[in-house]
Amino acid sequence: MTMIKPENESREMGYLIGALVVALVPHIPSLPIWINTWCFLAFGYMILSLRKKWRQPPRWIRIVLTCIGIAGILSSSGHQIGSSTYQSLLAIMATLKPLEIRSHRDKMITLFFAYFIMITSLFQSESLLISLYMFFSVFVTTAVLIQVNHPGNRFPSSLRLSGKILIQAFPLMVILFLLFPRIEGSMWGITPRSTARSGFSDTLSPGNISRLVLNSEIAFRARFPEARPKPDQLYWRGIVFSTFDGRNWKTDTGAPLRKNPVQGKQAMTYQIRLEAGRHPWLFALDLPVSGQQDEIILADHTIRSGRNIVKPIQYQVTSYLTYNTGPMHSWEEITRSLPESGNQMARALAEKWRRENSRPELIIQRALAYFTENPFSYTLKPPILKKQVIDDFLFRSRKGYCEHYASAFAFLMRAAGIPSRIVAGYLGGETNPYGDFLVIRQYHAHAWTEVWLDSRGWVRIDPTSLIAPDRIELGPAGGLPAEDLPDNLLGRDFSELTSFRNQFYFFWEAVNNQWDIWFSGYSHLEQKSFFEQLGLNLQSSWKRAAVLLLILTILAIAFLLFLMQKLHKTIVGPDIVQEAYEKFCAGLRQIGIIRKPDQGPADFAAQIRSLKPDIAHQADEIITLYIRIRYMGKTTPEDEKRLQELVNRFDPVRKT
Amino acid sequence: MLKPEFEDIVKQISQVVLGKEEQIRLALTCLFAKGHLLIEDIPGIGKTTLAKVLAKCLGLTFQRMQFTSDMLPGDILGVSIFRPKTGSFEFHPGPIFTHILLADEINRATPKTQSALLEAMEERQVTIEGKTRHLNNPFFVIATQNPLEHSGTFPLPESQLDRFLMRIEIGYPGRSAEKKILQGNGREQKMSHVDNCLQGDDVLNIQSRINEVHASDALLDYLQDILQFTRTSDRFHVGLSPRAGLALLQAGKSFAFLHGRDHVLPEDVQRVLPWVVRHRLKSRESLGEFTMERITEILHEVPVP
Repeated sequence: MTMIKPENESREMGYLIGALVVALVPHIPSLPIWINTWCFLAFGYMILSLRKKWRQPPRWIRIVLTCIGIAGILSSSGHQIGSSTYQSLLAIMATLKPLEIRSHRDKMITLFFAYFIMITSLFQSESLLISLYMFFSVFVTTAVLIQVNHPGNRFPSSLRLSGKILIQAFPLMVILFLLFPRIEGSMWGITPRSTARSGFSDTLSPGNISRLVLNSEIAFRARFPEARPKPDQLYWRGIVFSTFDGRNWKTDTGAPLRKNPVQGKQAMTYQIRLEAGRHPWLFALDLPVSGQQDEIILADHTIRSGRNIVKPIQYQVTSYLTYNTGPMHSWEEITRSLPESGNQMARALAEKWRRENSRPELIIQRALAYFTENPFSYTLKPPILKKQVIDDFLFRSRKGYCEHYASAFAFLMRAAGIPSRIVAGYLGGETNPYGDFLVIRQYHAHAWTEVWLDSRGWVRIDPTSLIAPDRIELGPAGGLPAEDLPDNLLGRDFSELTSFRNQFYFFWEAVNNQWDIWFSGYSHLEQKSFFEQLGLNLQSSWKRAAVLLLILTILAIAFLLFLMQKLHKTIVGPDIVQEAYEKFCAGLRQIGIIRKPDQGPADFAAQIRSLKPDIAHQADEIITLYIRIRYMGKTTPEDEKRLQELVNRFDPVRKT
Repeated sequence: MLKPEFEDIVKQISQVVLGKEEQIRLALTCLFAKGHLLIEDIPGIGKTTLAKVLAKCLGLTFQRMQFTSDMLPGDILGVSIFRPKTGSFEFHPGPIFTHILLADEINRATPKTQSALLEAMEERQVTIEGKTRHLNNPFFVIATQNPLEHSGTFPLPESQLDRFLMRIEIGYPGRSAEKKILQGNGREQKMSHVDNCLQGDDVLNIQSRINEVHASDALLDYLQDILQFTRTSDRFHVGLSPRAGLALLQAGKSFAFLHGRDHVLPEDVQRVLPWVVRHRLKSRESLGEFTMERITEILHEVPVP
């Protein structure tokens, strides 16, 4: 064991801390501020102490710090222990571990800890960016691992070796990715952080949807293999709210399964990749006809998954863009009812319209005209409404986002005796020129109204489209006044693809989409179909495991053979001389001069002389050169080249 | 054919030892390789003559000893004798203080005497009464033994046999050669015709030049393959030792040099191999020696790399 010099030791500590920091970076956004500060201070202190050659803090300080850290995590996470809690714990441990590094073993543990932290960044997200970053941090940490075990190395050479190892590991990674049994459901019961972001709940109150405009996260992506619907057809149906309590709209849990097939035209089939969100709603274009087996289509024409979507899922839906839902069902009678009292002015207005118009269509027109005739405006910052929300909105504030309009319109309809309900979902989507898909983000969230007409069934009416007609064509930024626009929508001009920034933005989106489809979305179903494509119908997972084992064994053997060959080559060297000589002997074998395995070159030359004097001269030249290279120890590269030349020119068959 | 200067020596010697050129070449190879030679054959075949002519031809001093069972180490190494005139002991060097020592019928001496000689062969020095004396340089032992007589002999153990670089057999002369022997003059007369081919330090020069003969990696690989074969094959009782490997290399170098080359070829190793290894190997089945044919099988089974 060689003694490591102190300066080497402190440099090595620096590398270890670097590896930990690199591993922790992806966790920064999800960690509480105080943990980030803690990490910053702790690592800062460590680097400073390496510079100034301070001694390690005594044991009791480390214990106290550990206690403080754990107490801090427990108090800040409250009763809810989720992935963020674990991440915080890992971060605290990462800052404390370097304080007690004494031996080689401690360094190794620290490095494996860094690897573990890296894996946990997948809790954060499985996005392309995180994955690419993980490659980087594996690269760095492996280099540090090499450095720690070969303290004499220079760090750049460790980096190079690490890169080489990673490249060599790449095929194995691909095979494991394709073949390793997929685990269904969330691993360790920890759901990824991203689930908490869905904007919808089973209650629709004013402000519910306008709040979502601030959120640029992707809700889902839709891929249309054939034609794409027109912008005014992009109503993504998600939730139906049928019950009104005077202020809030609630979903009707009583909707049974849909039994009668819907009649319609303009069928369109498309795939959706839905991001995780802690809700069971699946989104589909108005009006979904059929989905896949896992999902249920309810009689209110919404699709529900059997359980909450905690992982991104992909599904395929067919929708009719024009449809007739047929007669009303008894359970839908609730769409006529209003609370006993409240919002008297609105009720009176609706009553007046009913008296003036006999047909429901005319009442609807009258109501819509009310919105255009009066100074209603579309805004994200509506004034706070008083207790009689509908009255206050219709007659006083007249400022609101889609949920206000949908709510008021549905109320008016019910008051006028027309069954109505609110549908929430998304409207529109960003077209990506690089991929054949639409990106629907949280800020595309929308609410609209459906009314029931005798002849046509449920008909979609979107009062917002009257107030802000640009909302449909231009997305959420379209209808809003400029001062209302939140930061995430500012300066994003989706109509043109001129600036480099937009091009890059869409390209990145397209790459991410592919990544999500091919990598994050590679579930046990995809794996099964992959096996089927290979011609292996492996139903049971043990068969799949056996195939995996077989392939790994074959790989291991191939690798071993490769290694042995390489080892042999490094000892003997690529023997071009021997190859040339063997070629020469092979040529002679064709004319019947066979070199016995134990025959030395001089004997062989004598044999050739006696058997074929006519080629003896040439053969002698070759053998003499061969002997010079092989046995006289005076080899020059020119000799080897010359030998190759001679052998190549030597053709005993043609000569005879 | 050897290099002309060495072929001359062979010619000179074969004037006396008729029709045995191959054996003479091997003997020269062995002596120039600084090795001791064991000649195994029946009496009267010319062993002693060969040794004598070799000594004369190479211009070296020669001593002959007939080994008997009552011989003592002192008879070989020398003794100190008290001189009353000077009142001190005076060392009388034994026959070992010569260049070429012919140890005739070495297997007749007792193990004690044998080992005294063999130790001197290995160390090239003797320690008598606490004083170390260097032997002449060059120093060769040419030992002979009769393989057929067993009564009253002490066969050399393997460890002692190992000290002889080569063991050769002379064999009956060919018909025409024997006729010449029968026709010819007496040996003594013939011996006087032999010229000194080499003088003074010539032998030492040749020996040092043989050390410089190049053995390439490929050649050493071949040699190692041979050694390994004897160690792993189930035909041999015990495989060849590293000393045997060195002996094989040294003999190969010498053989190459005599043929006028400054590098060893696999052929050189092949030519000398039977004479170098046959007395060092035993069959696993019979625990006896191999025939010449079986020994050459080694060569056929080890490919030249």
